[in-house]
Order: sequence, then structure tokens, then C-alpha cells
Amino acid sequence: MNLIETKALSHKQGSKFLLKNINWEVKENEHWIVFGANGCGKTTLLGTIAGYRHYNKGEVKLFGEVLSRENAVLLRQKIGFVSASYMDRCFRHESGLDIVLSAKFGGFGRRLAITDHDVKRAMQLLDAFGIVEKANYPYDMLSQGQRQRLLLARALMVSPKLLLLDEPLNGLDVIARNFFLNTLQEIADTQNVSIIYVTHQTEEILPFYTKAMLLKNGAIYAQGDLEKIFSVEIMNEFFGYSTNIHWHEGRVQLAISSELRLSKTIWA
Amino acid sequence: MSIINHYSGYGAQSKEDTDALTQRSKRCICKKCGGKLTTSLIIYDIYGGAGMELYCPHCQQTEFGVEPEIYEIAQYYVENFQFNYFLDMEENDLNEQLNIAKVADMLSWLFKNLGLLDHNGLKNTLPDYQFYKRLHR
Repeated sequence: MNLIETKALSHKQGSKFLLKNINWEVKENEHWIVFGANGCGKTTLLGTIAGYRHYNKGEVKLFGEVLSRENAVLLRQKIGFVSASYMDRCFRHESGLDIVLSAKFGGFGRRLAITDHDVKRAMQLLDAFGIVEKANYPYDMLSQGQRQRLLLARALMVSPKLLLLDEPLNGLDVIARNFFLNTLQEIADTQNVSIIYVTHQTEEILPFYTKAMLLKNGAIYAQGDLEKIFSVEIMNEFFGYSTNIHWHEGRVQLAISSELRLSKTIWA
Repeated sequence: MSIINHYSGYGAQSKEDTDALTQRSKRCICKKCGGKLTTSLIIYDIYGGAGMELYCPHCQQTEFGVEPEIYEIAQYYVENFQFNYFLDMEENDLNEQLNIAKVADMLSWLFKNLGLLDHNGLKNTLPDYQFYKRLHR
């Protein structure tokens, strides 16, 4: 069964296509990288698949069901969604514990149906991510690193089949990045979950990812096996610059060979 | 992000869920500030939404709320017994509100587990509650 299936998915805002004719299939146990420059539609795509954003045209199927306003809340309960750029707008003063618990209901708030077991699990997750002492603190009093850990704890609260990560390392220091990447590796090794990881940094691409999609101006530029996508030919064409690709122990490094800098005339 | 207050329904939510939230918004108050709650749709942009939630317009946050009687007891406790769970925070209004919310959470858990609180609110009038209210004034 496909966990994600989009057919001709498009979303237009004003005169601009944020997503254009996205045809994509993610099968069980596949781990994907969604790669592209800033503003190419990565976050919009993930937000749409996570059931938080509507779309104008096409179809999104999650776990074999067509995503609609009627089933979005139920489908969201099977998805772990980590997107600071999205969640920072929706959570402000809510406590860490309430935010983690809200995952159970596929929304932003908690309900009376919260059980002691739920609270225990939420606290165990916060403890595992080293932020249990911040459980009662408002979201806006947490550091960027603590927020990312909190959102990952929230994503794992529902034991998801699908983990959607939208640039999760943004704003993290080197220790937090290391912690986060090691945690992801462990999740991939031990949990029955497919990971979709959105990034524009190749250093974050761990060896367990096998598939990649390149997104440009809201449309799929290329998709397929990771090693084929991260080739010099495709990357040169994708960026429009000469690139260097280096593979080491299953990890890819990408560098732009051309010297890009501000025009000297700006200093005149 | 936008908030649509007094939102009455969303296709993706069950009627039981929206009805329960509507009832709760009429009965319960914010566990931080004690203000009235509203039912709201929190939306990222005009094309998306997560569904109806309870919301405190004063604190500008999603807030499940607490029974007013429990809030009053929690407020009394924090103000009179120097309760401070957030020792590393500056002592200010927010600190006090967070402490009230913490005590209100604990009391709600206690009341629920004693069988005195369910989804319809408090089952009985609290013993000596009127006496407490006089004290509090």
C-alpha cells in the first residue's frame, strides 16, 4: 500500500502556483528526502500532506484514503508532523505538555479524553528528549532547539506510520543537530515508520534515505533513487551552476563550484 | 496565522467533539488568566485549518480550560501559600498565571480521579465551597 499518493496535486494562491502538478508515491518503509532551494514549495507540500493546508486541484491519498475535510483530523492522528515554520505560527503560549498531548487528537488542543497513560507517555517522550523540566513552560519561552525536540516528541506521541520533518535542524547548534540526527537514525532503525525529510542541506541526509525528490518552483524537477538524483549531471542542471558531489560512507556532500558573491558594484 | 472566534464547526470533526467543546466553552475558563473561552478555528492561511479548538482570546492560545470553582481554589492556593513551581522564572504575572494553571491541572486530575468531575463538569457542589468563597473575598 502507498502511504502517500498524490495525483496532479496543485495549489494556486493568487496568480502563483505554490504547488504544481505533483505526482508522487511513497511506499511503506521508504525514506524520502525532499530537496530544494528556499521558497520552492517544500513546506507547502508537507503541510498539505499533513492535512493542515487545503489544495485547489488534484488528489492526495494517505494510507489509501483520499484526504478531505471530513477525514483530515483522523488521518492526522497517524502522522507525525514536525514543522517549526508551521507550528511557530500556531503555538505561542501553550505548555509543552499540552502541545505533545494535542497530537492525540490531530489538532492543536487537548480534550477530556486524555488519560493518565497519555500523560505518562508524553512525559516519557519529553524526558527522552531532555526537556521534561520544560513540560509546563509556554512554547514561546523555549529555545529553538527545545522547540524542535518538543515537536519531535509531539510527532512520536501517536506512534506514527509517517513522519514528516520540515527542515528540523534549522536554528540548532552543533550538539542539538548531532542529537537530532542520531535520534532520527535510531527511529529509522527501530520503528516501523516512513520518514519524509525536507531540507536544503545535504549534510543532513543520512544513509538510511533511499529516495529523493527535487522540488523547484512548486513542481517536481526529478524524483527517484537518492544516488541517481544526487548526481553531478542532475544537480548542475537543477541549480544552474557547476556542482561537486562527493559520497562518503553512504552520505552525500554537495558544493557549488562557481564562486557566488555580491556584485562588486554594490560597494562602489 | 489567523483566529476565527466563535467558530461553530468543521467538516473534519465529529459533532460530538464540536458539541463537547461548545459546552465546555460556556462553562469553563482559562486556567491561566481565568478569562472566558471561545470556540475558534486556528488557521495557517485562508486555505487550511486544524479544526475547532477552545481558545483564550486574552492569552492568545489554545486552551482547554478548567472549571471555574477549581480555578478559584488554585488561585487562592498560589496567592496565599507562596506556591512556586517555576523557580527559575522571574516572579511576575506570567509566573503567577503558570502556577495557577499548574495547581488547577493537579486539582482537576484529583477531582476527576475522586469521581467528582467528568465531561459535564463538577458532579456535586463542593463542600464548604461557600465558606471558601467568603474567605477569598
